[in-house]
Amino acid sequence: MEKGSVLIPRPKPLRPHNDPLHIIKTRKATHKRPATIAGPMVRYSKLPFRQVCRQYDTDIVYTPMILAREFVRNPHARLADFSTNSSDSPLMVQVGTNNVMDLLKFVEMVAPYCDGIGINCGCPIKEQVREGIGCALIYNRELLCSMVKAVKEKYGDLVRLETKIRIHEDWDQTVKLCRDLCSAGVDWITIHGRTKNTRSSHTANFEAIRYVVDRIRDKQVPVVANGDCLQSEDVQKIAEITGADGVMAVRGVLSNPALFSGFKTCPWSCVEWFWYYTLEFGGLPYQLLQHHLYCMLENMEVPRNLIKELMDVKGTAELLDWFGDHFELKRYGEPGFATCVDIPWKNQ
Amino acid sequence: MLWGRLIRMAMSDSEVVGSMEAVPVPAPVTTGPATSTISVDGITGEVTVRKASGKVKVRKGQSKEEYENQLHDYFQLNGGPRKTEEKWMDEVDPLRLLQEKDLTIKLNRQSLSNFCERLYYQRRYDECLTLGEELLRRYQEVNKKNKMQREIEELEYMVKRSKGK
Ligand SMILES: Cc1cc2nc3c(=O)[nH]c(=O)nc-3n(C[C@H](O)[C@H](O)[C@H](O)COP(=O)(O)O)c2cc1C
Repeated sequence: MEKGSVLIPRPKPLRPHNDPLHIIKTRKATHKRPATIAGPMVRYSKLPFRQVCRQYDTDIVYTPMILAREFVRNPHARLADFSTNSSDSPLMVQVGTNNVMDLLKFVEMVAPYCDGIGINCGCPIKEQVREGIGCALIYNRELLCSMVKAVKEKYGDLVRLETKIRIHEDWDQTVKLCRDLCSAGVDWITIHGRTKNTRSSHTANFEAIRYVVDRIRDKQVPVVANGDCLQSEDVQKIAEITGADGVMAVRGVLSNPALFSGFKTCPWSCVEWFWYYTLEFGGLPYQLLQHHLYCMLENMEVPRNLIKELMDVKGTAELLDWFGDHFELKRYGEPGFATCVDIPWKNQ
Repeated sequence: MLWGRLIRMAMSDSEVVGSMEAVPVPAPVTTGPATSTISVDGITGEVTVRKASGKVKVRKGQSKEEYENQLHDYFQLNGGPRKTEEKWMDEVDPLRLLQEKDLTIKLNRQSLSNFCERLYYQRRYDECLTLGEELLRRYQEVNKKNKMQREIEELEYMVKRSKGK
């Protein structure tokens, strides 16, 4: 439609292969497993990492939370917060917002380039909660439902909309919230089995997720379970305990992007893919690149002294040479690229 | 939790779906999260945050014109978000970029250095050396108060190592 003189593209068409709702609803029947989802991580869930996850049976991948307010007002924020490409799918863009207007604008701007939009209702950080963003929304049922309703009334099935919530101390409040979200038209709900005040070192509460799933079943809105999916065997276990249709892993995939493919520890191939995608798409801030590689190598149980060396390296090219000094790091296009599972130590 | 602290450190077919105007404008909502009260102007999106301490912060709304300018910048000028396909860098000549881009802007320098890093990764050391030397020369011209020291060191590293490979 004309907006002044600006042509606004339609939302990206949803087909069975990229419609996240279809995927979540059908994986159990078609693949005998829950839908596998790599959840949002501020800073980390950038394009190169998303593409690595997709190499390893991850059905749906999230962007980091993007603040709607900044995105709709500021070209620099847009450039810094969201880049994508034609194979970045199925993709959920997660938004942090506290009002209908910014959300509708945000949806208008990103829906042509993603497969669904998720509202962050779980971020517990004071700075965001104070602004009514993130976790504050689970205590503002009416506002949250009005946001969901506005998007769904405008777009119907053309845009998938999810909410990622935390549980309340009183689980019945979570049930009430979820039932209202279903009535407002939400497509599915991701439930992180922790309250606003539960530390991430404390285990996620799957019973609470089950409690909600059992009490919203009549609404026929799928639930994705989040929290503590750290090993490949956790995927089925969490789906069974919670009754959820999908399982979202976050810290687990940061350390082992191949978690959903059944690898107990991060295979070496992830490292090679990550190097390739990072440099192929135009780089990542160095600290980010370094942190990703740190997480993967730590998961592979590379000795501490070497990890410490890695953290002392100061730049991308130097880090590449450091890898070359210790390991057989294959480049994209070279025979055997991304096929190795065990660490290919040099001189062994 | 650490991750939140990092937050700010950090088609083709034309549209038929409704525009913002098609949406019923919600009345100002007052909400009551645990630590503050926020109220939203349903027309401009102006948000007033009243903190528990009594302090009031106003987050400015956005007029229709301002938003339309953003839409113009985003859809019309840029064709949506930045898209980086595999091999996109093969289609771009970094030396041409070097002529066009303002090197006092860090993002521009970063994207040029990325070309060098990719050549280094691909073991195309001769090309990496040529580009690296040129970037070094141009960066040094704009390196005021040695603010770009890290970036220059990184290029020097690639140049030195490319010579030896
Ligand atoms: C580094 C990091 C960044 C995160 N960023 C976000 C975010 O942007 N949006 C969000 O909803 N949750 C975010 N979270 C929370 C996770 O999405 C997830 O709910 C939480 O880590 C529990 O899942 P896990 O046990 O699988 O890690 C983040 C967590 C981590 C560790």
